[in-house]
Amino acid sequence: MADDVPPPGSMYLYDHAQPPLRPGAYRFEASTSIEKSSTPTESLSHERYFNVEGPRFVLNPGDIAGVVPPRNSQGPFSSVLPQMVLRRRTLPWERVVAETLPAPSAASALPNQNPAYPTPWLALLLLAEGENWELKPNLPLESVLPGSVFNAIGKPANVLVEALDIQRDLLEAILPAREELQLLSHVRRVNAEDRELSIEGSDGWFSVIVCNRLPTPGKKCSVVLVSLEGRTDLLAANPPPFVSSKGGGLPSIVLPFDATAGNLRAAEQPFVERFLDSPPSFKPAVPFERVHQREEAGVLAAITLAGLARTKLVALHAWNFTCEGEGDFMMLMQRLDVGLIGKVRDNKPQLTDTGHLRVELGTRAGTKESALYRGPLVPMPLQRDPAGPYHSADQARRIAPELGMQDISYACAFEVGRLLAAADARLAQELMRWRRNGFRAAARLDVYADLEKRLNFVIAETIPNKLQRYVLPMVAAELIDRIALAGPAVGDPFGIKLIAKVAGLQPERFADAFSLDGGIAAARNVLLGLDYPLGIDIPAVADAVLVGSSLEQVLADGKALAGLGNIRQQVIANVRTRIGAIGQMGGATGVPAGPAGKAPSRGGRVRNSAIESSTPPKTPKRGGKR
Amino acid sequence: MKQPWVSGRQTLLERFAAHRQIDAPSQEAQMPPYMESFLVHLRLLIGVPFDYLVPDSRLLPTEAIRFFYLDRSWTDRLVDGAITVGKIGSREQAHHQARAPYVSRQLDITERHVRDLQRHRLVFDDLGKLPLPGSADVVTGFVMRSRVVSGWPQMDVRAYRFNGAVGADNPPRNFNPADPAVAKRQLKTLRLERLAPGVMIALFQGVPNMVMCEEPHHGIQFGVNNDLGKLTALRRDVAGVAIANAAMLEVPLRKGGLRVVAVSEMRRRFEEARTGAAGVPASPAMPVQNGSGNFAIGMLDRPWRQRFQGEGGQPGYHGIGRYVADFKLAVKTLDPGLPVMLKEFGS
Repeated sequence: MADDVPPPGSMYLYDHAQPPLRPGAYRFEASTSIEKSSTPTESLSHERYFNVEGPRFVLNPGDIAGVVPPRNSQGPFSSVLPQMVLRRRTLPWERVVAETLPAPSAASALPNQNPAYPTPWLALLLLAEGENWELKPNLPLESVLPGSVFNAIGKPANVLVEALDIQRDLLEAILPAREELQLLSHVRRVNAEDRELSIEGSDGWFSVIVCNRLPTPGKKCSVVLVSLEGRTDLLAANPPPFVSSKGGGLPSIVLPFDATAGNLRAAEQPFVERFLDSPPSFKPAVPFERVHQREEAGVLAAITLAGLARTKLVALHAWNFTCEGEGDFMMLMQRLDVGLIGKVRDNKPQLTDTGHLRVELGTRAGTKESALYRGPLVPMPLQRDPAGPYHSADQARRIAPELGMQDISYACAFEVGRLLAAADARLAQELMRWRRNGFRAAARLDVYADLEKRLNFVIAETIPNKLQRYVLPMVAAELIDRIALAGPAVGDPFGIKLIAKVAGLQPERFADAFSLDGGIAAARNVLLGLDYPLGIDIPAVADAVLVGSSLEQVLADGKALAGLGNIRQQVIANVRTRIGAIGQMGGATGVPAGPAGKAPSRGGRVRNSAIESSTPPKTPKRGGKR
Repeated sequence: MKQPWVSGRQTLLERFAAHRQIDAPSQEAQMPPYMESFLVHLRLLIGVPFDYLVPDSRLLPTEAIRFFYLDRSWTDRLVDGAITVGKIGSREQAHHQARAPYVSRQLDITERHVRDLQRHRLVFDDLGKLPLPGSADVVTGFVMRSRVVSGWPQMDVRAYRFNGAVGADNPPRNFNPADPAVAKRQLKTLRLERLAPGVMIALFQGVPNMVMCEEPHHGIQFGVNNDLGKLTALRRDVAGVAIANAAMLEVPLRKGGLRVVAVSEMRRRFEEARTGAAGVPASPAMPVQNGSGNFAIGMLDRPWRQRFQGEGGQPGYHGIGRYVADFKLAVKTLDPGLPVMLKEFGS
């Protein structure tokens, strides 16, 4: 399969494209045989039937990609051959005229011709007005085709077709011979990149059937697509004689079958049968027997009768055009009135310089007034309105100050958009969904913002993550982390060292701050004459790894708890002594004394240290953080 | 750092266990695909009644082409109006107000792919995978009402922005659209559609200084030259280019005066002209007459290419039409294996 698309501006031509399966009924048989050593061979088979269908007596207009000259057109088409373009590239080769066709005589066959070259079953006939032909709709198929042909194509029952009823010698004069049929159909592959959309969305493949007759100038012409399936009675092996085109103005009346004996026979043989099959209009006047006698009487009589005789073909499609005037692609294109939008003839309709058109407007008050309107197609580049979005059409109404008129262009656009959207039920649903999702997202983000504000921390996550995850675990993890990090170090569960680090209690800093003459010694004196700010040096307790982390285990560590209790007692005693020494603070009421060893058992703190202890490696880092 | 309380795996398990409590995963920030698709089609005026585009029929008379700039404010209002549906209160207004910049930006990006969507080259959901270009910026186009539109459907339309002033020779006559130097000057076609059998609209991204309409290739016909009643055909090489200084071939007609071309004899004359015969000089560049494809090369008329050129914003578009000289045809017909390959297609 050649899948390279032609480059823009080019196309590829192919001689023909034959379908893998022709239309028809098929049987599909699958069988398998199983052999086992001990048992006889078993064979299974299965049959299925399927039909391949394709156009036969009627052509769906959707299968036609185009006809040239265009339908009902007028133009100088006298030097181009009409053609029909089909969307199905295999269509002209899907059926056959007959399985075997008589070979052309050696004189007309070409050396390069492939003997298996397929013959299409479709032909285009160009017929001018005034010639002896007629299109007849809704005829039963068996009255259109001769009996032998009808049998040959499988007697399709109950088919009504449109038939081309045509004078026999006219048909023979214009019907392509077998070899000509082959030359008049080909496949094109074009580049479909830069062309307008059509409903079917073409893939760029087309089959083309060309007519062999040039339109006559000044005449109304019809082109009929006929089916030649089974019509071995009509299709000639050799083309009729030709003349040069030079000086071919006046037609010389030459009957088509006066050339060779073979053609005469071909015309003779089906004659009677055709006569029986579709009785022509003069049947009552000419009895059946007398026809035979006339035929035997001589060639002249046969010619006369054949000249009057008519034949019918299945017509799949037909269109008309008139071959006069000027109207081909080039002419029409060259004559286009070119301009920017807003170019008008005779200043009608009147437009403003900005391209606005005056329109009548029925106001809400029920009065009529003039307003200005301009569509989205404008003759000059415009700035995009940065204000927006607009929530109602009235917001988009403007006043043109120079004219004192309303400009309703954008209000109209707004309303068109609204009406188009309202006409689409699914869009309304989707809009609701969009909003609902938006509201939901907003509500969730509000909850987060509130939490962050109240708990005074920032959840370091992107908004989509925040929207799609659980709130509770995130907040809880953050809170636990903070509680864990906020507590004092393990070795100083009451934060005594922390207190001792207060700047006001440091003799060095105190001396610096007040520029004491006595230096550190004087400061120490001021600070109650103690060596240590709190009157006691508290040794740092090395962090110890607790194997367990349950409350019971912590409480069972009596030694540590007792040590901590002692320190606390000592500090309290010192403070009390010093307060007493100052003697102004009202004595013992300042700091309540607690029983030693009780304090560590207060739930929160103990739990705190328990949690701390469970992650001992983190402790130094925590110190560093502070 | 502490271990998180809830690991990703646990979360996943939890979600599976109680899936009903969790919304379908949706990117709340994004527009639903259908909505975006609808709005982006609106951006290119798809579905907008024709009366709104051309408010007076005299603005687009028959047999006329009108170029224009697209008023982006107009299309923005169109989108605003569409979003208004179901907007009943200040909550919806606030929602729209907050998202309008995003919506506008997003539509600027996706509107370039509408044509691919229309042609089923793309599925909307795949848009997200494409690289995101910037805004389509200035959009221009034309509307045409003519018998050409109805009579020659699917013509090729291309818009270009060439350097310098365009004229009769810039771009050169019969330039090849597939040439990379030319192809990179081509503006992206955002929309090309028939609004009615005889009315076509085209939208391009950017301001072209040359727009070209080419006769549809699949519709070009077998033609003959009419030389004072004598019908002749050119000698053409395999690419369809007429061979210079070669004698024309006379077209034979069947007897009977019905102007029926003797097709078989015509082919014989083509072949005779290729190989040469008594009184007929040989043109070996002509294709071997072995089938209808090569026969067509000899008979096909060239497509007409209509140029419209000028500067945007200024009046004075004028048509300079050119025949397409090096219209390439038929390298493929010389490949003998092709009919066979086609036959095997689908089996």
